[in-house]
Amino acid sequence: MIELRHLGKIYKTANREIVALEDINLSVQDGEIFGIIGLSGAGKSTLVRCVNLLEKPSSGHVFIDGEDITEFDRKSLLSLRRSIGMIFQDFNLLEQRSVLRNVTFPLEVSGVKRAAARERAMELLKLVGLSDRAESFPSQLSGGQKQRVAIARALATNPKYLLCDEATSALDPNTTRSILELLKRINQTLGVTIVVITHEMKVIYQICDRVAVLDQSRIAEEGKVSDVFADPRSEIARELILPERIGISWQKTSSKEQQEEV
Amino acid sequence: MPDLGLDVLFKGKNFARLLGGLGIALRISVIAILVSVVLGTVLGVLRQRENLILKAFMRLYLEVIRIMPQLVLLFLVYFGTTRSFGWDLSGETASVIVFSLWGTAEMSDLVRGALSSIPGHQYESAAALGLKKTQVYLYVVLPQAVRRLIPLSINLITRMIKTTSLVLMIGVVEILKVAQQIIEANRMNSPNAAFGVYLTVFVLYFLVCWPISVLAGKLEKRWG
Repeated sequence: MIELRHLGKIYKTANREIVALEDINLSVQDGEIFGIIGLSGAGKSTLVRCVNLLEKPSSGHVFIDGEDITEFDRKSLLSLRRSIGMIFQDFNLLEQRSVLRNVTFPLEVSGVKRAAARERAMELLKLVGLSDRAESFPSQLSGGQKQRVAIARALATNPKYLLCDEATSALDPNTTRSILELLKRINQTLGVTIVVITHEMKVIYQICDRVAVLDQSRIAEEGKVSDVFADPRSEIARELILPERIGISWQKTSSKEQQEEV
Repeated sequence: MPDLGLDVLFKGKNFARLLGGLGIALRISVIAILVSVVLGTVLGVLRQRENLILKAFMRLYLEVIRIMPQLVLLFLVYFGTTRSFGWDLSGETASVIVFSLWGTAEMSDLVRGALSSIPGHQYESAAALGLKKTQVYLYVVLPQAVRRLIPLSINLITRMIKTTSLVLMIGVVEILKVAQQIIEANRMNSPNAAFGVYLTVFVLYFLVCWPISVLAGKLEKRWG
């Protein structure tokens, strides 16, 4: 379980302070897919970075499985990060390594034997549907394939959690859908708890169980996706959801119309 | 066919002398390049630090060396230090000093550029994989930085080799000076020697610099 308590983050620049997060309280249950949505600058990227302490919170605590990781020393933090996978908008693969060696990379660094690392990597590539591209290089792959490799790499160390920072924002709608389906499958088959950061409501709608709406550094609303979607209470949630709801109903009617035409 | 004056090359030890001159030019450049690559890398990494004094100092150093023509630097170090500090530097030592100062400045800027061109999310995602700081540099940042650095530093290296032709101005008898001597010595019996000898100098410089470019191309391709 991931628990954030009274989490705050302030960036200090030379002449002023920027509040990125203010009094964030959240808990992510084991086995669920939790979505965090907000507009650019709402603080969602900072928030997800506080979960594996890529960003150090200015105040408050982060509990992972009951342990306060803000008090971890460097060594425990490194091993903690291996149990929390993370994927990004820009994939961040190592261009000079093949697909296979990208996936074995975190294993090599943590001292796993080459043969074992290879075996594990091939398993994961099969899971993400890229067994046949093991010897390719990232530059030969499409965006969706790159993100699949990144997912395989993030899962290499058998993490309990997977953080997705705008993981589908650079992808087209079809690829987005297939990546989201993959994430859902990973969640269901491997039992990995997933935290999804996005600015797109349809991402939340498609895979998340619960959602938190972030607005101006604070949580504006939180709840089950179906509830928030059906009855958004905050201004920002309505703003994010309503056009999407219209879009979805419009898509439904238009596909019906198409069928009728056929 | 016009007389290109190539016959001069085969008189006595003329060709061997030219090669000897090339050797001196290369000795100066190789030492200076080695010093520049090592010191330049160290300084380039240091310039990443948020230390204002260090930054200001490095900036000043870089600008001074860049603005000053290499020839002026050579004169300053060779003639200037003799009168003012009483240093008795040989022409070659002075050349090595100047070329190292120049190369280090340029190299540090290339390294700084290559390092800062690695986007922040690369550091972040490496850290997210549980890598230590040294591992982040070793496995993620450096391989990418080196790849960006290669074409730029090859350019610098060939520029340094070519610019060593200036050191004849402080009395170092390198390839160009030897060429001039050969031409002068044969002015009467082979007045066309200038063309043939300088052509040979050109070919020799080319033979030195070209393999470096080829190697760079290969490395780029392999890592690209």
